[in-house]
Amino acid sequence: MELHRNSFISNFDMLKNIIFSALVFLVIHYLIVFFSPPNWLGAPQNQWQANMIRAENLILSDTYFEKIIVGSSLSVNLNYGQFDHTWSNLSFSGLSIYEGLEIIHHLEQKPKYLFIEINVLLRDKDTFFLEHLFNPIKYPIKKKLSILKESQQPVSLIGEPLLYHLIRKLMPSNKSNNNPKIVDIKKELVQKMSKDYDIVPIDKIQNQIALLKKLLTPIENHGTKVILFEMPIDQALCNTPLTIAIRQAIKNAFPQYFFIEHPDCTEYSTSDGIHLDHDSALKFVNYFKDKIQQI
Amino acid sequence: MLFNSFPFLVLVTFTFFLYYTNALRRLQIHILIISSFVFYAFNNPILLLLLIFSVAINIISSYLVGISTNQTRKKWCAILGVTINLITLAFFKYSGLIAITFFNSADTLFDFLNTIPLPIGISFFTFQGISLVVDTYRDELTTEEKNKFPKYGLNVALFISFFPQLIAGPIVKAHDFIPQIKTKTRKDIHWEDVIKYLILGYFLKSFVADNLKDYTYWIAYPFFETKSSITLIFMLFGYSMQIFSDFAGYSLIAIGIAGLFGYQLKQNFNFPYIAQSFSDFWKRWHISLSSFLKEYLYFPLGGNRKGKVRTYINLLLTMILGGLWHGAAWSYAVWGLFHGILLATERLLQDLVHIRNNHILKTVKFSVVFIMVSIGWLLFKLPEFSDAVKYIYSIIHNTELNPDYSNITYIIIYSTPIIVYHISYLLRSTNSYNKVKKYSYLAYGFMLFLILTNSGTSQEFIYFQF
Repeated sequence: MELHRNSFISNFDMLKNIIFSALVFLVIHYLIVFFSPPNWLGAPQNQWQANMIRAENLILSDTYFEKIIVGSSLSVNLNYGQFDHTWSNLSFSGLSIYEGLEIIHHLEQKPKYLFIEINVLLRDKDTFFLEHLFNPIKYPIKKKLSILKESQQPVSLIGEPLLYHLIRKLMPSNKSNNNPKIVDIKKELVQKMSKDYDIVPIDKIQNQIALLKKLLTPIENHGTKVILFEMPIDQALCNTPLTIAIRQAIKNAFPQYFFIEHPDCTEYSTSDGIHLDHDSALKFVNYFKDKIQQI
Repeated sequence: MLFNSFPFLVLVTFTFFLYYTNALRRLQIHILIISSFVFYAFNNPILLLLLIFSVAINIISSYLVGISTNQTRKKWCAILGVTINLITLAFFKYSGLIAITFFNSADTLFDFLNTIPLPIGISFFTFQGISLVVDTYRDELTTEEKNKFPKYGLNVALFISFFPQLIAGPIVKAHDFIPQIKTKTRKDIHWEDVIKYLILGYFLKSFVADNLKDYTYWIAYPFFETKSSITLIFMLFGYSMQIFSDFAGYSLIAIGIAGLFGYQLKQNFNFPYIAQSFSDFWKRWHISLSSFLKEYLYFPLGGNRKGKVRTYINLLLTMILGGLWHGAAWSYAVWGLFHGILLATERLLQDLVHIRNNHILKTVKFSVVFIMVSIGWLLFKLPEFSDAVKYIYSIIHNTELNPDYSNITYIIIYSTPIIVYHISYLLRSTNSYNKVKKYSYLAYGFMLFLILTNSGTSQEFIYFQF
């Protein structure tokens, strides 16, 4: 028994050393974060993390956002830096509008205005994302300990500010995005998508609208004003049977909401058929701002 | 149930305290079996019936083999036991492949075969069942381990269902595990090893593999077609690192958890990416499967004892079946064939060419092995063979596209621990390594810190699908 106890104690020393070292590293990391320039923090490492950071910036923050945009990757391109601090953009790449709406359900104080993108109405909710965001262990800890937030990961501190620029220097590239290969790939992508945009799954549209109504009712009960909007996409996809059907179904189901229709798609360009490029995104922001003046 | 999930933490903690409670000491095996059943049934309770069926079949067949004094009867009982295990595996795992290969999509049998679910971990526990029957037949288990039916049944049930290695290995052989079954006390726990295995395992899984997956995600058709050649090469490199850290991480966690209950599982990985030959690679990668295939398939086929041509055929056959063990798709057979050809070619070259080994040759050999193994992983990531070919085509032709700097940056960052891990092994006999070794707790502390602050999103282990 004595041998057992001694053996455990000597091993316990190892465990103690490991835990103590981990705590020291945590303190060092905290100090680095504390003294780092703001532009070193918050750079997402990838699409998933960008979504998480965007969500955490809202749910772990004490700030009240009066206007919230809910959308898919199409609305991520709305450069909300052009909006003032009362805005928050809950648009998630690779996800739907339903994750954003679920997050708003968790907010104690609902926004005054809620802007909902309708383009990707048919994509289903990703429960895994929401489970991860509201993990019963991590979520309360993150609320208390900001150092565990996604935006403050140690790798983000060395990734974006240091190594990324070094690699850019080591692998310089002057290749144009208009080279024939990229143009061909874009054309191919649009062609592939246009086949999907010719199919109108009526039942699925009705189901998703029913789900949207269900999610919006309790938010509206808090006095939130809902505004729907549609992002411009490639002109070949802009008025396909699917986009027309979704647009019409939305108008029929929600006649009471203000609807910002998409502008003339021929005046906008995309990187892959559905996501606006930088200049077009900025142009749409101006269009969007003009429209909301009318509300 | 994922090793990195909250329910698993609860299960292990609860089991641990019950297991070492003095009053329940006589029920230790029962406690582990019940926990293992809970673990297996957690996501899909109905599939527990299959595990119980597998346990029952292996108890009966191996017991009959063990008590038979008549050699012919003993042999037939063993054949029956192995056959039932293989039929179970074939029915649940390969029904979809059989449907696609042999039936028309309009056939009702096609629909039926396609609806059969793939139970998690079936490839692992059926192989353990085969090991039990064969080891009993070969008299590799002692009389005491074979007799006394109720106790024997419990021992076999624990051997087949032991939860730390139930769904993704390491594959444990009966003659390694069953002799370890006895009453355990806390002094049977090698705490230092357990702590190190768990930290390293969770680090490889949560920090390395779960983060790398967000960058190798783009190895999917048609997304990879828009990536530049250099980005595609880095993504393939990243996937090599990811699949290693995912599976080696799982194995280390399994070894660590088994250690908490006083059981020692053998190492499943031995720094595979330093291998300088394909045969060396297979001695270092998924060791429990390689040694299983060698012991229960390659040797019984004749190994290298029946001439050169038969050796090559045996190698190819073993690797093709090993490939198919991984997944029910012909691309896995192609992957196995690919490795079989590499092994056969290597053996042929060793017979024909004799060059003195030097540093340059070692580097060339290491590079060739790593590159070919990495190309082989494409068939894991892209089960459609044509997609794998398109990926290679894109590497060759996408030279005009801009590199994805962000992707490359983070693949380098998250792959670095694996490179350091392998280098540390190469330096293990140097004086400086031994001086630094006493501060290893700092490395484990740093890994623990990164697990806490920088884990990726938990995802199923890649090998769960097998």
